[in-house]
Parts: sequence; C-alpha cells; structure tokens
Amino acid sequence: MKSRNIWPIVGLVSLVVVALAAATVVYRRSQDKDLAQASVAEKLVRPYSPSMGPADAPVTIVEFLDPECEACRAMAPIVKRVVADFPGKVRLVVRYMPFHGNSALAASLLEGAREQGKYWEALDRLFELQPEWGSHDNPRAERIAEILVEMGLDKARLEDAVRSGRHAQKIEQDRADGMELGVRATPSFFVNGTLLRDLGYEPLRAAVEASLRR
Amino acid sequence: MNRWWPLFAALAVALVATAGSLFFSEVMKLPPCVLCWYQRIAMYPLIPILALGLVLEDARCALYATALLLPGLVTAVYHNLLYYGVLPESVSPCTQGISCTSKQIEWFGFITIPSLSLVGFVLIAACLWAFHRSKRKETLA
Repeated sequence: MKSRNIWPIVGLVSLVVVALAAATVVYRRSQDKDLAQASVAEKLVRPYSPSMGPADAPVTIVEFLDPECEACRAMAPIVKRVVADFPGKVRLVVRYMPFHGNSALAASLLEGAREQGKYWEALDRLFELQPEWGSHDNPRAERIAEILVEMGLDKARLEDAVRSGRHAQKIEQDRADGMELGVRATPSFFVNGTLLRDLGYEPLRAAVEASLRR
Repeated sequence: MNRWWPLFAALAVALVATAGSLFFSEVMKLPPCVLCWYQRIAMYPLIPILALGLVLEDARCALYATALLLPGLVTAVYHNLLYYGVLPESVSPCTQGISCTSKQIEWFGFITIPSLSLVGFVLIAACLWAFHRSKRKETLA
C-alpha cells in the first residue's frame, strides 16, 4: 500500500487522538480541582438533605439518586449492605437527581413520606415496586402515591406535599448541586467527597474502608 | 494530493466529530440519546471509509461515504427540529434513557450537541460535493 495520501492521514488521526487525550486530561484535572474546593462541602450535603446514621460518623456517603432509575434500584440493597458492614461509622445522605419523567414527583412524595416519619421505608418500597410505576414504556405516575398510601401513609398529607410545591425548590437545588459536582449519571456516590468511579459492592466498600484508614 | 483535498477535509471533520462525541459521552459522561446513536452510526464509519479510499486513491469511496452520510444528515436535521421545538416532542422516538430534547450543553446560546452534529454532517456533505464536482470537471477536461 504505497500511497502519497497515507502520511497526511496518519498525521490527521494522530492530531485528533492527541487532542482528545489532552482534552480528557485537562477536563479531569479541572473537575478534580473543582471537587477539592471548600465550597464543594456545602454542595454535597445541604442541611435539609435526608440522612441516616450518626451525624459525626467518620464516613459520609452522599448518594445522588433518582427514584425512577433502575441502576439506583439495583444499588439500593448494596448500599444498605455496605452501611451495615460498618455499624455506626457511616452516614448516608440522599440527594435527588431527577432524570426521568416522574422522578421529581416521586421525590416530592418521598419528602411527603419523610414528613410522616417514614422516609427510608418509602424509598425502599418505591425501589422495590419501581417496575410497577416507573417502567419506561408504561410509566404509571398515579401508582407512586397509591403505593405509599398502601404503606399506611396519610393520603391527604401526601397529596398536599405535592400540590403545595414545598419540596420543589429542594429537589431543584439537589439537581443544580449535582450538575455542578459533575453528576451525569445516577446513582452517583461521593464517599467523603470523592466521586466513586465504579458502581457495585466492592468499589463502594473499598471506598469506605479507604476513608476510614485515612 | 490537491485533487483529494475535499476528502481530507471530510475525514478531518469526521475525526473531530467522532472525537468530540466520545469526549461528551465518555469524558463528560453526558448520556447520548437515541438519535445521537443513529448519527454516530453514520459518522464513525466515515473515518475508515474515507481513510482507506484516500490511501488506495479510490474515488469511489466518496460514493460509499455519501450513502452513509445521507441518513446521518437526515437524522441530524430531524434531531435539530425536535430539539428546537419545531416538531412536537410527542413525535420523539426516545423512550429510553435521556430524552432527545434535554439540553445538556448550550455554549454561547447556540452551540449545542445536535447543532454541532448537523454542522459536521453539512460540512462533510459540502466536501463530498466539492470532490464530486472536481472529479466531473476532470473527466470533462
């Protein structure tokens, strides 16, 4: 294959590959630098965020989740397992990242359940029954409230939590904080402020262990 | 090489578009919507097709590239019409993952991912057309 054209092509391809690699390095670095800034701490955990576990726990896991996201559903039992692995050492904080059509509604209703003191049970139940209400080809938004009412929550108060819009601002703040922190997928975990790059039991457990050792 | 320059230009655009789309999805972790995938199917193979055509000095590669380009161009036009609300969203075929109309990037108000894609396809179309014209002139001369 002797051709006059081959070297310009090799040059062109190398140029683009090098540019892509350089852009990647620059982008990653700027992202890490952003995360290292002090203002990040307040964007990670807001005073209103639902949290489980001791407030002064040595490790804080912040999970940006979407109640309607299947991966979040799959991670839910894993998160529980990791938290149970380190009793009293881990605080779990939930932030909302509403990426789907009914995510914000589900989040408002979850906040409504929180008003009635059943937040974590409600979150578990909505994940468990997610295929019923959050399937992509047949989303049934009305099922969300029904499921919570079936758990024994007060229907009128739940409806009011949505209608009044009193949780909308928090949910929007979560989304805005998540975007600024570089959350582009759900679930995204920050373990003591460091973004977890891989999902699963082992990576999450390892990140908690590493934070405890530090 | 001068006779081949439009194909080099087309290859350069395809390379930049490919690298750019991979940067958005793999580095910035912006999820690609369904229509983006269809446009990628048309854009990515342009690289080996044009590169091989240039190496072998086979002018027919422009034809093969055109066959890929046209569906890509049509998809890009459609995507932009949806994105900018010219077509109602209910026509959108996106049922999974990210909606094709979610605005993930808006630089200076008009640089968006669908508009970048459309510009890429239009530039390549222009290059292929320029190549076609110069070839015809050559055969007539």
